[in-house]
Amino acid sequence: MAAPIDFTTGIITGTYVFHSNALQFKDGAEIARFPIWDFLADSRPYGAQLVQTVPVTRTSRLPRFRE
Amino acid sequence: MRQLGFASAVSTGKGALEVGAENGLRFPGAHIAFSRYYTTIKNNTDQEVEFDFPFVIEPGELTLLGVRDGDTAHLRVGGFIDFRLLSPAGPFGGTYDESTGRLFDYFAEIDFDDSPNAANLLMVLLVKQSTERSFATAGYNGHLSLPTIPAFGELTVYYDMYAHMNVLDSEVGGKVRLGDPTDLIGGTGVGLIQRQALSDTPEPGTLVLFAAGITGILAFRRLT
Repeated sequence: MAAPIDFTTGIITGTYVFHSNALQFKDGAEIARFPIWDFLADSRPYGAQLVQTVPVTRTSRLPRFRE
Repeated sequence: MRQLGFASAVSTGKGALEVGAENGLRFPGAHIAFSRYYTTIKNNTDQEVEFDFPFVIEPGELTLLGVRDGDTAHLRVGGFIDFRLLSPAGPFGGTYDESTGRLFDYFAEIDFDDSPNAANLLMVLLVKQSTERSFATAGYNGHLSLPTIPAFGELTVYYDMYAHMNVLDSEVGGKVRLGDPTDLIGGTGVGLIQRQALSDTPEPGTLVLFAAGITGILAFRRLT
C-alpha cells in the first residue's frame, strides 16, 4: 500500500571543459540535456554548439553599479 | 583534466549544491560545472497538500586573472528552481494536466565587457587591478512556497546550480564558484516543510466554546 505522500529525490552532477573542438572533457551527466545549456546559450565558447537551442528569455538584470 | 583547469560539482542527498571551475593555466576555453537536486512529491490522498521549500546558496567567488581588453572573459554563477505539476484530469482519472514554471532564479557575473551584474545575489568587490578583478558573493537563505498539490497529484521540484567561465583571450584565467566544491563537504541543503491545512469551517466544539464565551460576557455585563 502506498504511503499517503511519497517522496523521491535524486541528484545529478556534471562538468564540461572545452578548449577546442578537438580537446574537450566531460564527466557526469550530459550537459546538453539540462536547461543550463540553454541558459548559457549566449556565452558558450565559439564552436561549442552541440545541440540546436531554443531562444531563451534572459533574466532581468539589476542596473549596473558604479565602483 | 586538472592540467587544463578543472570543473567540479557536488550535491549531497540533502540538496546541498556546490559548483566551481578554475582555469589556472590561462588557456582560452570554457569550464562549466552544474548540479541538480530534484524531488518528486506524490500525493496519494484525496486532500490537497502544500509544502514550503527552504534552500541555501553558499557564499561564492568570481575572480578574473590577466590583462583585460574589453572582450576577454565571462564568469557567471547562478541557479534556478523550476517545478512540474501533474494534476489529475478527466472524468475517470488516469490522465494528467501538466504545468511547469520557474519559482526562483539568481546569478552573479563578470560580463565580457568587464561589468558586474547580479540578481538575487549580493556581489562585493574584493580586488580591482589591471591584472585582477575579483568579487565575492554573499550567502543567501531562501524560502519558497511550492504550488499546491491537488488530490492524487504530483509535484517535482528541480533545483539547478552552475558555475561557468568562458575565456576568449590567452593568458587569462580565473576561478568561479558557489560554495567550495573541492572540500566534498556539503552545506545546509534544502528542506520540505508541509504546511498545515487550515479548515475554513470551525469545528462544532469551537462553536460551543465561542457561544459559551459570548454568553458569559453578556451575563457579566448584566451583573455589573
